Amino acid sequence: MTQPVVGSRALRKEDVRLVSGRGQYTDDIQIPGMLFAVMLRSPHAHARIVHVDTSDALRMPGVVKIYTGQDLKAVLPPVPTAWIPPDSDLKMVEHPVLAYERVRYVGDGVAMVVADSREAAEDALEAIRVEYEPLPAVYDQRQAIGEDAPQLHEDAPNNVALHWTVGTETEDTFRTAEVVVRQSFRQQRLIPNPMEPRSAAAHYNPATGEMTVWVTSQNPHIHRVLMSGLLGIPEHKLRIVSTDVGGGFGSKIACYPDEVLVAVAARDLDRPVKWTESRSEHFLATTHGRDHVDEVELAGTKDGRVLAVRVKAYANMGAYLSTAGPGVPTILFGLIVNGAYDIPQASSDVYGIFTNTTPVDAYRGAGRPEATYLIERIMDSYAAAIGMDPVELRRKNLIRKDQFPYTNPFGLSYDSGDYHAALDRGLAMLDYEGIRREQAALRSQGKYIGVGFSTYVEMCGLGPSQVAGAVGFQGGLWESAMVRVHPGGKVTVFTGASPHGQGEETTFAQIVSGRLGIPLEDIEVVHGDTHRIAMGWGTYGSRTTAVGGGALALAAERVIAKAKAIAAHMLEIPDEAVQFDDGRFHPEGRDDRTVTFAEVALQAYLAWNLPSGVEPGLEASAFYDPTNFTYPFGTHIAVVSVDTETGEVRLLRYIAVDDCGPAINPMIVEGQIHGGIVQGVGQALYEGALYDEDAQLVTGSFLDYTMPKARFFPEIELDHTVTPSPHNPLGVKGVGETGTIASTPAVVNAVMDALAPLGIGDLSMPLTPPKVWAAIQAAKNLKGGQAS
Amino acid sequence: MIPAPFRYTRAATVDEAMQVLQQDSDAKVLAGGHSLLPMMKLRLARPSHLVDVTRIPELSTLKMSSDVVVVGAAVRYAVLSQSRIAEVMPLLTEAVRLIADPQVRHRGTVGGSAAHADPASDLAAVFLATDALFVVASPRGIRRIPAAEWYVAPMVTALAGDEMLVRVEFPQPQPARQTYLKFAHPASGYALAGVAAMLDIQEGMIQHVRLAVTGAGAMPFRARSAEQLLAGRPLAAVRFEEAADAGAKDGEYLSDAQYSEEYRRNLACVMMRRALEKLAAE
Repeated sequence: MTQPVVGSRALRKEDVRLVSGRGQYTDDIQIPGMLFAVMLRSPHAHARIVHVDTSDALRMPGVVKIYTGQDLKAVLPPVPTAWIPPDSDLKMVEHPVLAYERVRYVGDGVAMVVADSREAAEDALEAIRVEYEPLPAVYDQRQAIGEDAPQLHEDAPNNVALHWTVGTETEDTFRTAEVVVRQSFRQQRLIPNPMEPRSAAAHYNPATGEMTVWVTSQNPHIHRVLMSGLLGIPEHKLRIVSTDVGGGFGSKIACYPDEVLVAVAARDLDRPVKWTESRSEHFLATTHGRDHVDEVELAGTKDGRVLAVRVKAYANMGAYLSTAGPGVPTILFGLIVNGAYDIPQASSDVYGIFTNTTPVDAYRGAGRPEATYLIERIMDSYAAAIGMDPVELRRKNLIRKDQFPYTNPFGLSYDSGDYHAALDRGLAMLDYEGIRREQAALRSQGKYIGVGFSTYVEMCGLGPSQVAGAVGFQGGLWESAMVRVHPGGKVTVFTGASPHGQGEETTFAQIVSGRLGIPLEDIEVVHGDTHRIAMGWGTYGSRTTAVGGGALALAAERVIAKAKAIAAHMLEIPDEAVQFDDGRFHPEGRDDRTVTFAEVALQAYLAWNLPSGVEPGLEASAFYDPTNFTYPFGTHIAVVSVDTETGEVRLLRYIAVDDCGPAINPMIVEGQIHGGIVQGVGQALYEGALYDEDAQLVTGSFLDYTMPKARFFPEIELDHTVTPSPHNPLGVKGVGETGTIASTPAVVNAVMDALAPLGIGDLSMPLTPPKVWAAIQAAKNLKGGQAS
Repeated sequence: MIPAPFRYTRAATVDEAMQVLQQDSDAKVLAGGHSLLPMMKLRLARPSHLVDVTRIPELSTLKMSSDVVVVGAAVRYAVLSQSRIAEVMPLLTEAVRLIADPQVRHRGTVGGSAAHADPASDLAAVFLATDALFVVASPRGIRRIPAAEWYVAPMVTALAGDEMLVRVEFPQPQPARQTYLKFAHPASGYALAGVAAMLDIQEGMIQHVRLAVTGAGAMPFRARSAEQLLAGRPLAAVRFEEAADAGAKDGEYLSDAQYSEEYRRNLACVMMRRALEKLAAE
């Protein structure tokens, strides 16, 4: 047998299409007679709409129709949220598809112009006159719950969107603990920037009542559920297509007003309509990520045993509740703040707060980066407080191999792992003692390097449907797969997951190829089309391979079981005597008589000679519901230098040892880890949305908002351990988010380690040159003051 | 991201381009377009008429002689960076190679950068340090504007409405030791502090010091106080830190949401000192 295909570094099948410009993204859709829509967005963070005058704009050449909030409020229900955490007192405030009385953030939709061309639509946009009465605005969540803060929604007093608490009792422990460390962390607001901006195109056929919407979605079936309700079009008449999507990072989970509006116009005007946001629009009108203030407390012993951790989190929800928004700072954050450590007690107390900002939703890692950051940072502070090496402290508190399955204080059952092994491997790659010696030598020359650790765990592979229901997610989280073998023996795979850059057209083909013994090129993976795939829940939460792959493995096994029965009949031997390997069926232990997979497929369709009771055809579906989440883990280590004259932080080395279970395609896994690390370092050092006093976004373009760039990075050093998860048939744990989750605290810990001799205890992200420089100056002045 | 409607003329000669500029006071010269077109797409700029000058042969001149280097206004950065000018004026090609990214360098032009007058443009420091002359044409004929008079305010030059930049002249010889050091804005890639530095060292004495800073200040500037502290002094006796401190005082600095006045001044100072140290060590 040749090299096994599962576990091989097969090149990505989809890249032939995508890198040669043959992909079909939503904006590539061209239909004769198509109109173009553009959105008029609020320039104010908070204002009353006094009057919208479209009369001049309507007279502009090429303009077909202009929709305003007043036109639509009676005919369109508000945009729903789909995650309602239980016992959170969630305020389901109205989110109109177009604002009609009040705008609540810069970028809030006010009107939509539909015209013959994008040019005509944009010209007309300028001719719409809106009279606003500006209101006081607030962008900071703690100010928003303060006295006299501007109020966004009548139904949400003091701007509190939700309040949710979870965990064990901790009070006694904190009262009696030898050591208590308190620290407040700011999770700055991030702006996800996939390469492809959002876009939607809609085509309605009044004769059949069928609506097709192409949309940049990570979860077209969720879009179908939500849009079916909004548009009043039943699911069998509503087709959502999201086949080629250029990245999402969570920002394409939500059902946005824009795609609903495009469909409304297409039906109303009986013409296809398309809308594509500009990058500038994306900065304002596509969901943002993170934006917490986390007040964290850790109780421990003097010799480094953590006894309890608790957090009070203030999460900025933005102006409205986005589709998955409420679940991110609650379920995906609050249940895992103990991280990878065996901490007996823990609790989370979370406030979600409305502000006059772009709505916040999932962003790569979604909740788990925030949780990981606070525990990994405060572990370093605890280490410093008791004078213990941060690695030793981690080693002492990491959950041991013999404790799995491990139940954390919130009741999560961590599946499997050897956390110490990943740490040891990382330390060996680093040469920890060597780097500490180098650090000491450089410090004596006035040069500062630092090393930082993050021994993370995360929960992903979302998730069992029963759990989805229990945590208020308004959907199931199982996944579907169908394996259809054609008469010639080639295979089409249909998955309800919706990859948008992660490479599952290849990894899924590898899974099927490995099981059916047919070449990769004989397998096509179809995703992202609700008319071709019965049902599914999409791609997010590192779930695609763990859950979608699990469904696929089951479906493939069902195909093999049927094929075996047919082969046994052809070989004239009992079913149980058939052996199947390498694409051939033969009597067990003998291979003088064989039938190939293709021969069996043909026989299944000819049906001239099938065993009695066996139906013709060869295809199988599986709806796979996992038994639990999966828990990838690992150790990430950053080595940085700080230029004390400019404040610039440079990443000298980055080591990542990850355990995502067995890798289907190590090349794709490494690509996911690379990308994840880069995004996490983006948060640590570069990215951050800034608002001014009027809640105007200051960092509204790539001129001001720093995306991490290739030249900022050294070669990333990767290794892995392999601990299969018992929670799915493939044993895989998910890898899409681990890099982002792990890297942010590793880098910040490294910078703080570098700066420790200067007496700098904490800095808020991003650690930009001016911020680091100002802290160094302040520390120097303080030291100078003390000396004199 | 669609510009407001405008007319477009591709000029074949300087005279033809000037004619359009004379006829329409809202007309703008288009060269590489990498600053102007994004502003137009955001509708922050709305010229009624664009005059494309990139096909005017005269504007693509690249000439070197013993007393002057001439660079046509429409010479692209990428062309310049691969030219023999590196042999006589490495400062210029070094700076050009640090501008933005390859896409911009293949479209952007020397004259476009000068006329756009972004206060963080890399070339501004080079123009100032080398005492470049901007040769401009108008119906009144040709005049030469010294670099020291060129930058009037951020995004504003001494160019009159009916005038057009045709070439930049760099007097030769320049001091032998030259460098351009840049601390780039991590988002935009523009200079947060770009320092053009040149000097000669003759028998242990520092001579002909030229220092100019872009990006850090509200305007690009010559750090003449630093030059005065250093010129004619023995290398062994000078403290570059002191000179850079003095030089940084020649600039005016503004704060924005991310970069404070103090930080910008510090960067100017640090980058000047590093540039001087680098030249002294050559």
